[in-house]
Order: sequence, then structure tokens, then C-alpha cells
Amino acid sequence: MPTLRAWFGGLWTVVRAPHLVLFTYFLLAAVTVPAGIAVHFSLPAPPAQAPNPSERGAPDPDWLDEASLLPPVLLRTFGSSLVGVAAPLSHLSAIAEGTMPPWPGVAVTAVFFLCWTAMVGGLITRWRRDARIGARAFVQAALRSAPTLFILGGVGVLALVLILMTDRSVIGPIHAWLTAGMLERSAAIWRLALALPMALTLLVVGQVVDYTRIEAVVSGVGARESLSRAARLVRRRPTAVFGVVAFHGLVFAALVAGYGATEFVPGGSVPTLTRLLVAGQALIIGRLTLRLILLAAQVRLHQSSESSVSLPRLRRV
Amino acid sequence: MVRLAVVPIAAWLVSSAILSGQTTAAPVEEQRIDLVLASGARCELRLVLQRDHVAHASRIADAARESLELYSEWFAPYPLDHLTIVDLPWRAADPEGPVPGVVSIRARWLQPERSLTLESQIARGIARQWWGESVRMPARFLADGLAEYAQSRVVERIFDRRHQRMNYSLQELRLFDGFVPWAIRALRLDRQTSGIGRPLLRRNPLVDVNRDAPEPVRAAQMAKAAAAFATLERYLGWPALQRGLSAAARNFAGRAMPPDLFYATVGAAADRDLSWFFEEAFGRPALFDFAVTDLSSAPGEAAECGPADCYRTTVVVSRLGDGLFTGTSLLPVGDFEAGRAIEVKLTFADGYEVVEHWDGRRPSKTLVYHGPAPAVSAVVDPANKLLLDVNRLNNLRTISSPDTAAVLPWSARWTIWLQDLVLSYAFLF
Repeated sequence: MPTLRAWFGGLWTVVRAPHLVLFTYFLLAAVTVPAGIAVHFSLPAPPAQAPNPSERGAPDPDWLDEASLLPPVLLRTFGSSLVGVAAPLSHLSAIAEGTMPPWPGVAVTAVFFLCWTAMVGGLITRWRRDARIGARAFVQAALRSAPTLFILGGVGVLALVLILMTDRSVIGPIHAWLTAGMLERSAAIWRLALALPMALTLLVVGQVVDYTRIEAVVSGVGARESLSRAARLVRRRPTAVFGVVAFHGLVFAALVAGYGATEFVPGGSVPTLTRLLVAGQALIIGRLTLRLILLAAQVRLHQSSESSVSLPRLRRV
Repeated sequence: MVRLAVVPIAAWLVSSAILSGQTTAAPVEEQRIDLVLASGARCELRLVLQRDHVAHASRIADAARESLELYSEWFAPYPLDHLTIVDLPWRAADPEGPVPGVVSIRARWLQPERSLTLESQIARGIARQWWGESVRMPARFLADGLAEYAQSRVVERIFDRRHQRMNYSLQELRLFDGFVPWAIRALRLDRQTSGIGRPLLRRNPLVDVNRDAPEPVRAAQMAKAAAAFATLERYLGWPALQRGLSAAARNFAGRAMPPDLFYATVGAAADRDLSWFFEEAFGRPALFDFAVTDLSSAPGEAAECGPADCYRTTVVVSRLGDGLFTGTSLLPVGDFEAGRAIEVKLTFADGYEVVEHWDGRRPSKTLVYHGPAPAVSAVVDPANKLLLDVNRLNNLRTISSPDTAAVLPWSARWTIWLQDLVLSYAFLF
């Protein structure tokens, strides 16, 4: 099956290049850890005496709430969604609801997104050749395609904002009107049904943008021509294109579920610092790896599409 | 092209409608349960539940039984022989006014076992059968505050019975437009903080309980009143407070009880004048905030210490708000303080501890000690009695720099949260 072949091919590609995962991880750490250090030195000490003696040592929700009201801006993002698997779930929920992240998060995300977009050109070139390329060649490939990729990245962001705003400002009120007086379960099903067109639009636009990026790096043509070719590819091989993303989604769900399961093992609900860091960074590295695998799988799919188009059709004579 | 699009769209709409159960019958289901309370009293419990909430019937009945038992024990026997709990339709407006014997709740389709938000609604609504129905209270904040305070005690009992842990509930997050709940196992709520809505009070510290206000402010008024009753519990002790509430409920059953009579009844049962407390807590929108604003220890002068070495320790405790917590209605005489409600505990490096008292009337008080060891820490209200204090972070001050290792788990959690946020949004495209 082309879907599984492409995805596992991407997996094998990334496994053979762990330094790329590490580099992306350090890039992420470089933009996030300084903010974490700033938060660390802004936080007041937890109270020595928790109200309930049996809870001393466990996270104190009251202290958490008080800390979130302190003047430093970064502390305004403090809340119960910081704890454990609530973090990834709340982010997914915010995207589904069309909610923008708090502005410190927007700033850090923008910096990382720019770095990631610049890197993508080098990654695509490396995986396209399926061979190691030196650091200089990587950087040159990245810089060569960076302007086009930044334009495409900007288009992608605008499309995302438009889709999320439409979901929030149009679908939300329609849902409220449609489900007035309904059972809550029915309202939940209708919400899912109404969100489906937006989710599908997001998916299609996302895939077109992804393959446009690959086309722009591989063929070196401009953004418009790359967009046209990418749209043709998505139209020509929808099963493979969306199959890769669907399988990727399943693996991502398994990763988040695995992270959530760590809260249910003995001692998992109030983990030690070491366990907290190990589990948390395992989730982050897992997400980074999955994203690289998806990109590698898309490059393989693009490559296989090119070769199937260029081969003449065999006819029996 | 349009005709081709109509068929899948129609199929999608029809399947959604069928899945959502729009073609099936009546949305409510009724159950009747005969409750026999520990006192021998009988009560017919009628549950009117939305069809998708029927699975919660046993939880609702259990919470109702526990509430009736405990309130009958604490306040007065339940005045009626029936109770109806009505599960309001989703997004329906709140009913106009309270009705005797009827409690309205908003159950959710998905309700985690360890998040007792459903039970807290039931306990709160049933408490209003005493405070507001049986005892008519013209001051709405009193009825609301008593109901909120009472439900915190009941829900803690329920959580302890079901999960063998003295907590109020787990923190619950509502995700995906509020349809999907997630109970955070690490965040265990306490009845004397989250259970009485202290986060709301913290965000509305100057709320005036005597003002008629719409819903968001009314919730803050309820939180302030509940915090006042929780403070009284910690200051007087539960037996004394319970005596006062029971006296109020029994003596004024079926009658109106103005605030002054309520305050006098509770004070008489505790055998002390509590007007100093009720005037500050409810008479005006006072801000309660006590803090240790300075702590220093340095080697003392020979003239102060004599031949032996000693340390001079200076502590300054301050009242940052205008709310007083004096402990008495008597006025001070000259330089002497009147009242001992505020405690200040000082800990020294050799393990010695000193507990001082302060009436909190002046903006600040300076305490000076000479001793063989320097001070380590000073804390105002070490026993967390004053739950009306909106900022407890400034109650403790240490000589050495705060232990930053203690906050490392939180800064680590925040960094992981930020990393996940970046990946969630940056990888969408």
C-alpha cells in the first residue's frame, strides 16, 4: 500500500538521521527554555503549609491560582492546563475551537515557525537525494528555497487564521441556533458534524501547502507553479496523500494517549521531577520525530508520484 | 456540479440528525426513590433527568441522600417530605426563582467520577431548602454564602467516602467546546479554597455583597460570603459555628431572618460578640490582605545584648488592605491593642518559635527580638484562619532567598506546556 510504504519509508529515513531530530529539538529548546528560566525566577515559593496536611508535597491548586495573578506577564499563562496530558489536550481543544494562543506563546511560536520554515528546504533536499549532505550544502539548500518557503508559510498561516476564525464566528453561532433545546449528546454530535467541513478544508489546504513546499524546493519553480503542481498531485493521488496524514494522526493519538497513560501508573499523578522531565521531553521529542517522519513520507510520496508520471505506460503489442 | 454536491451534503445532514437521536421520543426520564434518613424521616426523591443524563441517576441520588442526612444533622430536620431534582435542558435559561422542595441542576453528558461538580450543584441546591426557603433571608448573599459553604463540607465527605481521600474534588477541565471533560489527577482541590470559590474572590477582592448584581458578580458575592463562613469555622471551630447555624435554622424556620438577627444568633451560640467580624466581612467592600513586609536579623550591639553574643531580629507585619480582623468589638485604650485575632509566628535558627498576636488595627506593627540565634522565617496567620485574605503569597517571608528548587517542577511543567503549544501551532502548516 502506498500509504504505509511512504510512511514507513519516512520513518526509516528519520531513524537513519537522528542528528536531524536532535538539531530540531535543540532549536525548539533554544526558543522555549529561556522563557522557562524567566518563569522559574518569577515564581514565588510554594507555601510550606498546605491547607490539607495530606496534600503537602502535591501540586497546590490554590498556589497555582495565586501565582497566575502575579504581575509578570508570563505567569498570566499559568493554569491547570499546565499539568500532565492536560497540556496537549487543551492545545488541541483550542485549535478545534478556533482560539488563538496567549501572546507570549504566539511570539515564541512565530520564532520557531520561521526557523522551521527555513530548515524545511534543507530537509527536503536531503531526503530527496536520500543521502547525507554536508552542513554547508544543507544550509545552502535551505537558504536557496527560504524566500519561496516563507511566502508559502505566510499563505499557510493566513489560511489557518481564516479557517479558525470562520469556525469560531460562523459555525459557532450556527451550532448554538441549531441545537437550542437539544440533548447535550445530540449537540455534541452536531458540533462534530459542523466541524467536519472546516477540518477537511484545513486538511486539504494543509496538504496542498506541504506539497507546494516540496515542489518548490525540488523543481525550483516559483510559488504559483509549485501550487498548481501540488494541487494536481493531491487531486491525482488523494488516497495516498490523505492516507499518510490519517496514519500519522493515528500514531500521534497513540503518542498522546501513551503520555496520558503515565499519569495512571503508580506515582504518576504526582510525579517526581525526573519522571516529569523524562515523560514531558519524550512527548516533545516524539512529536518532533513524527513531524519529521511526515515530511519525509511526503517527500517519498512526491518522489513516487514523479516517477510514476515519467514512466511510459506499458502497452501490450 | 451542484446536483452532485447535494447528495453527499444531504446524506451528511440526515446521518447527523439520526445519530443525534432527533427521531426518538421524549427527552426526559423520571425516577422516584424512597429515602429513609438516619433520623428515621422519610423523603420521596423524584429525579427528572434529561435522557442522556440517566446514567448519573445513582450519583445524583447518593449526593441528595448525603446532603439531606448531613444538613438535617447540622442545621434542622428537613422541612418537607419530598424533594424533586430537575435536570435542566442543555443551554436552557435558569429558572426564575427558588421553589420549595425543588432543586434544579445542570448535569453534563460526560461527567468524570472524581470531579464532583455535579454533586456540588446538588448539595448547594439542597442547602437552599434551609437557607432561603425554610429560613427566608432577605440578604441574598447570606443564603448564597451559606449554601456555598455548606456544599463544600458535604462534597468533601462524599469524595472521602468514595475515594478514601480528604479532598473536595479533582480539578476539571472542559475541552472541545465544553463537551469533553478531563479530571486532572494531580490537582486535588481543597474545600476551604477551591471548594468555596476563593479563585473568584481573589479576582473580585472588593466585591460588595450588599449590591444587587447580575450573575458573574453574584458568584463573587457568594464566594466572599462562603469564605467568611469558612473563616469563622477556622476561628471559632466547627462545633461552635454549627451550634449557631442550627440555632438560626431551628428558631427561624418558616420565618424571615434579617442579617442582624442572624449575626446575633451565631454569636450567642458561640458565646461571643461577632459583630466586629460581620461588620468587616459583610458591612462594606473591605479588602483583606495581611503581609510580612520586612524581616531582618543582624548581630546585636554590645549595649543591647550584654556580654553574650546575640542577634537583633526585626519583623514588620502590615495590613495592606482596609479589612480588619481584630477579634473584638472593644476599642483599644491608649497604646494598648484590643483583640488578638491575627497571629504572627517567628521561627529562629535554633528551632525556637514565638507566636505573637496583633489586632490589625494599625497599618503595621514592628516586633523586635534579641536572642542567641537569627530568625529564619516569619509568617502572618500561620494556621490559614483568615480565608478572606486575598493574597497568601505575601504572608511568609524568609531570611534566606526563597528555595527555587521547590518551584522547579512548575517551571518544568510550564516549559513543556510552551513546547507543546509551539509544536501544536507551528506544525499545522
